[in-house]
Amino acid sequence: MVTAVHVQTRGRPRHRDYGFLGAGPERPWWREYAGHTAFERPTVLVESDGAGYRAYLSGIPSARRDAVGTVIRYTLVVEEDGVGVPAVEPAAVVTLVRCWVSEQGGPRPGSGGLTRALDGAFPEDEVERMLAAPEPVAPADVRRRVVAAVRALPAADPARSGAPDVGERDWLADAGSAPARAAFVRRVDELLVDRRPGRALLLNLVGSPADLTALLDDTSPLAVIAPDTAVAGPTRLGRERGPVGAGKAPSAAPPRTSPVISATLPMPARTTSRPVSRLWTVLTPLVLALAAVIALLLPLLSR
Amino acid sequence: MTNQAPAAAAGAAAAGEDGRLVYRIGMVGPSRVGKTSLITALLHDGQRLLEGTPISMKAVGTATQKRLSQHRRELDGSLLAGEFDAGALGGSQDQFTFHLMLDTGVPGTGIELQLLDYPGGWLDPHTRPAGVDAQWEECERFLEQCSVLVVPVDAAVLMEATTASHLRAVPTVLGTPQVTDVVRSWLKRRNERPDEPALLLLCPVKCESYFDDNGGRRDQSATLLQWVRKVYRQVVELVPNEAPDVRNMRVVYCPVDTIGCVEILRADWLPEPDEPGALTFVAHYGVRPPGERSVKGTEDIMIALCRQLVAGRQKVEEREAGLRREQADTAQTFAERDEGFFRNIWYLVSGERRLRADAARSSREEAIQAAERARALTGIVESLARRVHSDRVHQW
Ligand SMILES: Nc1nc2c(ncn2[C@@H]2O[C@H](COP(=O)(O)OP(=O)(O)OP(=O)(O)O)[C@@H](O)[C@H]2O)c(=O)[nH]1
Ligand SMILES: [Mg+2]
Repeated sequence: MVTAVHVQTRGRPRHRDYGFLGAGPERPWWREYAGHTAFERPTVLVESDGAGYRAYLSGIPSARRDAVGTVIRYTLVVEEDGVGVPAVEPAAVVTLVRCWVSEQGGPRPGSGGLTRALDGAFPEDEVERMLAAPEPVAPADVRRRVVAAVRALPAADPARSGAPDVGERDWLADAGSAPARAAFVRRVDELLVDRRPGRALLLNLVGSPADLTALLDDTSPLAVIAPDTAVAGPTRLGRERGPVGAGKAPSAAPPRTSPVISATLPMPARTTSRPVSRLWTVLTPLVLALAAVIALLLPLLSR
Repeated sequence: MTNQAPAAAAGAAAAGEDGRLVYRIGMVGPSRVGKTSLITALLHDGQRLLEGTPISMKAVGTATQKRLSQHRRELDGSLLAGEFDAGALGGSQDQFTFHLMLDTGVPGTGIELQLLDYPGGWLDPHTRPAGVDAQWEECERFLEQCSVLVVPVDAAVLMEATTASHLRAVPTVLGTPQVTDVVRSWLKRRNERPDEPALLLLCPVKCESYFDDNGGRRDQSATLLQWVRKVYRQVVELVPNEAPDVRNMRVVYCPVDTIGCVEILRADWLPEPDEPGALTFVAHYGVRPPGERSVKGTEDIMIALCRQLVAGRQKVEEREAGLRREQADTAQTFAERDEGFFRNIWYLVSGERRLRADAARSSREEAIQAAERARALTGIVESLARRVHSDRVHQW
């Protein structure tokens, strides 16, 4: 089996605190983002290395409450090593993300689609039984239930139809913006279905591009949405010095220590190559003219 | 601002990157007792306390700022409905260090308060989720190294226990055995540094229904005090036993309303399935009009913290004078020998001194202002320390 699906939740009684149903993931890799997001609030972390991927969705409320009346949450973790036939369609994970992200807009985030689907697949008595069972729950059981929850989610257009392409490698946008959320889901689709390397993150403790400096990585493009940010539209994250506004060649990123600069990008933007080629159409005649002048002047000067 | 795990090397207070004083404060309490709310209230009220002074209380870093604003928004939301839905605020899911700053506006000065928060379920090995042992150990290290330990106590649990079976359930609900263990380890560590002032704060929270000084109708404060004395007797008795050498150890009883505008309507003690005899406590609250949050009691916490800082400072200055007489290198000694609270207070003191020297030398406007701001901070800490505690407070 190449796809591991983990679900963390809690039971009603006091002593049945949060735990994974069955064995949890090997490593709590999501904790790397602990300074950038509060896991009890809506969070999405998708990482792909181009072959396998891992996804983390948290802060999903259940309709269940614990014995003292506190809302119970779900956390989902999906990990795929990229070897063999996936046991869960990557498109199903995209659907989960799309659904959770779509609930982050509007006045009342978390309007309930994912909550209903998960509660349907994990009824209260069965969750209690799974958490109390002396034998760990079979991984296939957890996986089957999550897949059933995905099937119960409202169908949507394919992730990319109508979704704008931000046209940047690393960007931050406000989670309250519908086009930004659509662009985010599009990036997730590229990571999971097209198996491109990179990361797509819904974080809740960031407010501006400067908060993301530590997460920039030349080998892994980064798309971030966050609630209540200071950015007007999708904003490029970058470390390069130089004029803002021209497209950025991914390979030209200088070392991490340079200051972060950012620019608000028009939305929807075209591909990265367009602005670069436009720049060249302006620069090429200038460079040629300069070369001609130098060629003319050189013999004069050397005389 | 990243939420680094509490550093192993963290002293009771540690020097911040730029030499400002970092003052670490630990919290120990079970799930849902009100740890996160107490931290939020401390900032909320700290800002009010410093209004009209050149010093402000600020959240440092986006992560702390966002956490505080999210908490406040959720709380406001749950109050709007008329009935207070305490369960709508889910508990914490991970450890987090809040960074609050008593800010002078001058780089290299100021006092940073670091408060460690974590899911209360981690406290009890039976409810601690698998896989968080290493994180809990980090929290334990942080807690041991704090010179201040805050124990939030759910006042409603104590006040609404009316039958023998309720009373039997109280220690489990309040997690007193686990709290006692943490306090014991903390005291043992304090005893290794007997010169450092130490402060144990017992803070009943959710007190608004039992005092008549914040919109409540009844005054049952004496009963609450009695109950806390009784249920936490063991904890308080640990102090002379585990930390007999600590010369400046204070135990302060400091009740807090972190919400203020609510009133208990009903309390249920529900049987726990699979645990014969065990009960769960559930309180239902209504909102007192006009439904505006009214924090009470955090000023007393600030006073207690400032007294501790002043006591530390006096000790540092005494010790420094002694070292001078011995012609020792003061800086070296403080850096090497006193890696905890003292060294960092010494950084604060010497930072202020440096600013004064700069001001005297250059007589530039900014240098003079910087020195004045630093002096203002010391002045405010001292004046807060001199304030009289409210009637709610008792010193043991
Ligand atoms: N009535 C009343 N309720 C309070 C007070 N302080 C906190 N609460 C409520 O108690 C509940 C628990 O508060 P938290 O601050 O989340 O508790 P915690 O100790 O951080 O809980 P964990 O994160 O689960 O460890 C929340 O619903 C709060 O709104 C208070 O002073 N009065
Ligand atoms: Mg909490």
